[in-house]
Amino acid sequence: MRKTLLIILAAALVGCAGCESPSFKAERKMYKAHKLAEKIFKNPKSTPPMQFAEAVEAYRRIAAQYPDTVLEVQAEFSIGHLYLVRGDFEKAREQYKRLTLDCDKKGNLCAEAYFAIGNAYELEQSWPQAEVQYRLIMDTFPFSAKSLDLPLYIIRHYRNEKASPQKVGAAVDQAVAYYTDLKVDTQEEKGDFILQGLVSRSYMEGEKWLDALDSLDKLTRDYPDFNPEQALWVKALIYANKLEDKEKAKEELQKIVSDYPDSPLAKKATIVIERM
Amino acid sequence: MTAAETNTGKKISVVAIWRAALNLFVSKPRVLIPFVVLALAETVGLFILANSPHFPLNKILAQPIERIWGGVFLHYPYIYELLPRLFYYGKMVTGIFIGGVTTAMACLMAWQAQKGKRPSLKTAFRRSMGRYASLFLLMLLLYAAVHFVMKQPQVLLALAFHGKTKLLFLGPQMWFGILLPAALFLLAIVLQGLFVYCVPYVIIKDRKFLPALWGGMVFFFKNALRTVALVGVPMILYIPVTILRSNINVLADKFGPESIVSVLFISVFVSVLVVDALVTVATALYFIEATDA
Repeated sequence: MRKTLLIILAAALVGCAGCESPSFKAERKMYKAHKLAEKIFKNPKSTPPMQFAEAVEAYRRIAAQYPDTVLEVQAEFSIGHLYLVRGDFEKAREQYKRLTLDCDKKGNLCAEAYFAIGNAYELEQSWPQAEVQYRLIMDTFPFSAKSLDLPLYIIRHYRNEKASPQKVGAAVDQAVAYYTDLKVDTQEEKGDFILQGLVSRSYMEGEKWLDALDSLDKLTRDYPDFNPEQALWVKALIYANKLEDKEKAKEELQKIVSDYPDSPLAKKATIVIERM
Repeated sequence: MTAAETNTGKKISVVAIWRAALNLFVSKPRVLIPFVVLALAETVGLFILANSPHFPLNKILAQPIERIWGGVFLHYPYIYELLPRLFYYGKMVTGIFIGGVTTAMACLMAWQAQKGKRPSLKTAFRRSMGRYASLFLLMLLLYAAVHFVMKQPQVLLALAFHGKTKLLFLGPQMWFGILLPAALFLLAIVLQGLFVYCVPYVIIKDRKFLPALWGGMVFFFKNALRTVALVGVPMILYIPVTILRSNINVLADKFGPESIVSVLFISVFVSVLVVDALVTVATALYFIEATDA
């Protein structure tokens, strides 16, 4: 009896190795495909075509084997990324476009796919076409994380490219208009607060410091329940570092200390005031 | 180390103890059986932990893993990243619940062989089980001491280095790369030495928990140098495994995450069947000789 029990226990333990769930097996396949791709990402230009084809094939097999799962999406994206690092922009875009089908079901994933298409254009030095993709995301998926970040991304692009102040200014205005329009559709005060914060950031990205200060004022005035001392802290930083007005900076810091003495920022503000 | 006088006035050579221990393994290999049992228990533990995301083990293990470390560690390859840490705790559990008994069995079998009797597994097992409570408490204390004390040098060194680039003219690479591992190695020997004679006191001298603990520690302090030699030399054999384990991520990257299981299995084999066996039997023989047990 004891022997039989031991044999059953041993068999059960050995059998456990075969009890891997299908998702665990799939994750292992994905890991192996990622390992193949890793070599290509490290050295995209000098990877032998066979190796490249092997990695693409590994992802294709996963996509075919696990349709309508996150793994399929990951595999499809990864194939696109492989083409992208090889400089085959057209094929990369084709691959990403496959992910833009059934956007009703995929939702924000489609935004990611369009963003990847935009990236492919950007890497190909075709900014206007990239911007078209980015604006498409902003219009089609207005409340996705991607679309909320894109107006700032566009401003940063113009600044990095050292575009004319008019172009940067236009991008800032478009961003502010975009976030302000979205405020109409928000139902909660927190949503409004986040969007007003993004308006302030748009001005800061565009280095429009006076507008940024006005926007931050609005933030503290209209949304007193959402840590307004943080906006005061940012204002102090703008005065001190960008406008070189130490008196005004000190005033903002003193406001934090007097109006929000329990905030962790009050302690920091006291230290900074002493050093000033 | 050459011959030295013990508290009984006898001159015992450490080399002679080593020779006797190795001879015992060759002439009476059944002395090794308790260690084989412990190694098997640890291997089963390793197997269970490595399969914790799979049915049916996931029914018991998935929830604590998810709560303590996060759900991501139930997925591939992250479960293998977590495995060394899980196995550390698994080894503690097997050590506390089984290790005391197997160590006591080996000590008693060594004593039987030394007295010219045939080492009996059955007798050793029965007698060890009769003193399970004391052995359990000793192992609990040993593992708790190792768990809490071994962390301290690293914490203290990090605190001493806070805001500095050098400490006593030496840089962090020297301290953390060479001196800290050396200090930890010495600390491990001392900790092991402090408890290594407590089990012979329980099983051979038939002492209860507290007298055995006190007796074992006093014996260690009276025979510190010889004990350090008896414990330290086998522990040197574990250094390659330590190096292998500290490079476990490199190995996993090169040979796949599953290679972590192989490294842990090697560590079980070396730590239990080589290091523990040598340390336990050699110190037990020394104890028998020195105390005329």
